[in-house]
Amino acid sequence: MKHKNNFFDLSRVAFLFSLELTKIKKYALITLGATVGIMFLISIMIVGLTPNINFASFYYVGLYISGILLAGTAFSDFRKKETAIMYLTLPASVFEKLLSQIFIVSFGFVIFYSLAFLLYWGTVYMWRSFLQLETPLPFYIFESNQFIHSLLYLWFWQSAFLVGSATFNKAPLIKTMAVVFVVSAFLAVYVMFLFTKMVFDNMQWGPHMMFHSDVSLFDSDWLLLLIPVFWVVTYLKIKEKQV
Amino acid sequence: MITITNLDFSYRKNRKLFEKLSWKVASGYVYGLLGKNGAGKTTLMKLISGLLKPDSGMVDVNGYQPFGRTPDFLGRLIFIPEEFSVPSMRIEEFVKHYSPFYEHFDLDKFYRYLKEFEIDSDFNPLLSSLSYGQKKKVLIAFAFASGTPLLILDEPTNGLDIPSKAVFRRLCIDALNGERTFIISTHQVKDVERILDRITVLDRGRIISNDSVENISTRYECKFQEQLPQEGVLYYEKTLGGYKTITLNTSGSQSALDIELYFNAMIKQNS
Repeated sequence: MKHKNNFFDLSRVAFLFSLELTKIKKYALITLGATVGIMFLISIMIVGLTPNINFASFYYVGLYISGILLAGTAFSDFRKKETAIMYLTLPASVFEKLLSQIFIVSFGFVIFYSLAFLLYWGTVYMWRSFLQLETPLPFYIFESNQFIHSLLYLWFWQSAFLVGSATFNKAPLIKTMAVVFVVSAFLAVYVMFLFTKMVFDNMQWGPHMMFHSDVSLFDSDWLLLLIPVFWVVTYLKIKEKQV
Repeated sequence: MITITNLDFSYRKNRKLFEKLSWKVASGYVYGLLGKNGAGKTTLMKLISGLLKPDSGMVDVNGYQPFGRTPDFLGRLIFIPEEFSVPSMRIEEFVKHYSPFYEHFDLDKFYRYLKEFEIDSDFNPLLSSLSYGQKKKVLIAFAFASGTPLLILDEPTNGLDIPSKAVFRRLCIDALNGERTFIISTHQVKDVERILDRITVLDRGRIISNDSVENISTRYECKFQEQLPQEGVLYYEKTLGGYKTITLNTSGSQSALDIELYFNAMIKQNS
């Protein structure tokens, strides 16, 4: 007797979400501690003693590196045949499985990382107070337009790395980075070629064109349109996964 | 009911493992899926579980196409592979997070089965800290308590200690309710021969025998004889002090079936 919604069921998503969080709980707490510790050490070594400290650059560098690392290692159950069997036979739909990963990797991560960052700020604040240095509040980071913009770009890169982690069973992070590099290089050459053709008489061929304000390849809003495309590709990859 | 019709499957393009394979599995029985290494037993179980996609042909499990892997379908089956992995969590967490996906899961049964397997659930150990056999016991207890109509077990007694094999058989009978179907693949036929209702022998991607234990033991007689008879022996194996033989059963009543001997006879006949 078929009676369940086989695409989306809220209670099933809640169970799945709870299961995934339990599975990564220990890993996440260790990462939180390590992130705060590394940031604090770098602060002490590089900028901890300077009168003006730029928290925003710290925030964004950490956000991108750890966010992409996390997305590149998502769907960790696919790395081993035994765990993949358990994951694929778990009674939840592919959409629900994808949704739980997107929530954890993209949205949950940003909240988690921001909390870690505030914890880091607290330790820096205490350290600098001890040295009688003033420390600016970090909340300006979250109020700027750049924050939303950066998040959208982070989710673009994360969605690309999610495709990789659902596609490659072994070393997905490295393989996805290689693919991203090859595709980017190909696109860069292609864009440069088009651009040179367009303004052949007025401009010289060169790699600077890739970052030119009119034809910037890596800072274009059209990239954001690829986020749902990558999610759909990830969905199809999981759906067709065989063990 | 599982119906497999004209199934083709291959891992490599030019080497078919199954070609036009057909098999019917009726509900409510314990099936023994026997075969030599590489015969395709695990592959067949994966195809039924929706882990592999048929190249062509049809696999139908109670009206579901397994590779669709819908939650409805997956909630009605548990597959325990020979090599498995358990999540890094305690037994209590494991059952708390996995059991809600199975609507007929019986928590009391789960803890009772664990107790029978002598797993101390009061201590609530971390699953990853248990031995291979203990992990398997937890998974078997979970599968039996899940209430799913279909259980697929690949080498379930492999790694279990000797007393636990008897417990496994007992629990298997306890977990059956007339509607559940168990497919058990094993090389340790002695461990499960008393609980099997039907025997399916798979050889080089083909089903060469698919019959009930009742029919087989009414048709054939397996016995030990000191001297090899001159006539009437369909198959024999030399053993310590005599011969194990298969002859036609003319008594009209069921004989005790030696599944290992029957399996060897089937393989020999088809070689």
